[in-house]
Amino acid sequence: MSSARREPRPDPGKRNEPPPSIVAEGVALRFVLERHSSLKSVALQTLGRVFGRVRIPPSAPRELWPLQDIDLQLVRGDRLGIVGRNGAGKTTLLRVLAGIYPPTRGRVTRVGTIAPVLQLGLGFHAELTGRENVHLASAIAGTPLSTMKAKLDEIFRFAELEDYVDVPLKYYSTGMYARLAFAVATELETDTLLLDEVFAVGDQYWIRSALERIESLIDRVGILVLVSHDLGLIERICNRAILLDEGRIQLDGSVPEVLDRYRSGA
Amino acid sequence: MHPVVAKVERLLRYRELLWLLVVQTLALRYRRTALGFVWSLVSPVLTMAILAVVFHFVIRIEMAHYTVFLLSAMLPWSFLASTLADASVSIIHREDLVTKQPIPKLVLPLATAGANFVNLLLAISVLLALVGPQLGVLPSVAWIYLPFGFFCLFAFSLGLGVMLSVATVYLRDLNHIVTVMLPAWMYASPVLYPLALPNGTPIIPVEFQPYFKLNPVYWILQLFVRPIYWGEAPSGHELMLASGLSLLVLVLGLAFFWWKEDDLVFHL
Repeated sequence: MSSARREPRPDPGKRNEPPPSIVAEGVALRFVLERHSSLKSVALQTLGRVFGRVRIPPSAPRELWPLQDIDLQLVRGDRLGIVGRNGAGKTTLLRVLAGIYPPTRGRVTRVGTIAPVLQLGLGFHAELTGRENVHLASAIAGTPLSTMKAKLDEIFRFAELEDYVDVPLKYYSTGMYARLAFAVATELETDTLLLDEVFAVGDQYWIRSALERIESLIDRVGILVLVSHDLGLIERICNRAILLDEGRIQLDGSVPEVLDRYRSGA
Repeated sequence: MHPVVAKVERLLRYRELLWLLVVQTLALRYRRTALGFVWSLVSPVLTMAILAVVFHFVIRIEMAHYTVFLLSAMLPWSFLASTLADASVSIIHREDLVTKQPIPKLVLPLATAGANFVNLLLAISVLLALVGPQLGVLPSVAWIYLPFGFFCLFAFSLGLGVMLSVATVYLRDLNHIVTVMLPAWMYASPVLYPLALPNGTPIIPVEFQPYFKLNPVYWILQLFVRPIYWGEAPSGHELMLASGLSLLVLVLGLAFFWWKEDDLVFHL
């Protein structure tokens, strides 16, 4: 499906708001891996300092730079696919774009609302009913409750769970749970949606409608960022792609260009 | 925009999440129990009945209406204690949310304090209305000071709670330390006995009493003990100290929380 020119529908309620955008400039992220500070290590170091003689060296902190020199501009209509090997920094980049990790260097400027979906069913609780879990999941993602309540029937209809709206989640099968989580994630009201390996799980028939639903996001979301090892999905959905390797953007370009480079392993 | 204004504005945008977390905490605590929400009232009554028997008949605190004293000090204390215990793990137990959604992290300790506060309000109003008259507690004009007491108690508990919620991320041992320290603090506050009996006989030797008054909780509890047990208004001295200390703790707690809020995700 070639949808590179398709622009998202303008949202009538937001006509006066600036279009959504995310700009990352010179972003780098550092993790400091210290030995987990426990009371024991703190006490030992303090004692060592007080009595002078016994010198317990503080374990040298190890530094990791999971992201470096990230420059990325996303504007309304962008549907970015992120590819790269495991550990290349794909999810970490989503976290930085979403504002979960503050960058160590550089900065990220965001306009509009952002909903990251790093895990399907985040915040779901087994004792709560399907309805309560949908409310909770949408509040966690910052979608207004009134919006979600209006979409509730549609979510359960799509997940094929109309009879389970008020049943606690623990009585759901794994597949039912996954379908509900997927239905919520793709119904969030947001300017920017960040999806991390959101697989459609279910029988073949349902997977087809799930794929259609991901495609329908093209029209509903201002900016879509998709991390996936499913290159076919990226070809169908995205109009831009980047290749990440060892925390750096190796290539930022068109989908075929980036996927070719990724497939060739360069 | 001032950073604090921005923080508050972000928090307000997530008020629905805060509300749902409070409801969820309360609902899950009593769901699938036969008595349901009644437990939030039955358990303090039973706890107090046991304490009343022990301290009145076994340890023999010769105090008229001892149960009323216990009620007026124990309920606010239980709120403080459970809020601190719950808040200290509120972030580390919701690690999944903190590392996967850019939520304002303050909603987590705030929701635990909120849920406990709903319990406190219910328990204290039902106990005053149902059990109070049997024990000889009659509504008094001094009760108009109670909302002020609730405010100070909430501010103090929240301030300390948010501080603990962050500190526990860096030092996991704190959760255990809090659990151990709370009973000690209860005896120091004092919750189970007054510093002196109504007739002036000291329970705590007079020379030690000033040390008890270094404890901010002592002053906050006075805002409940005075109106409910003594039927009199707290003194200006008590009002000033209780509100000053509570607000100070709240401001320090929020300052500490917001100072570390962006960094703590790297330590989960």
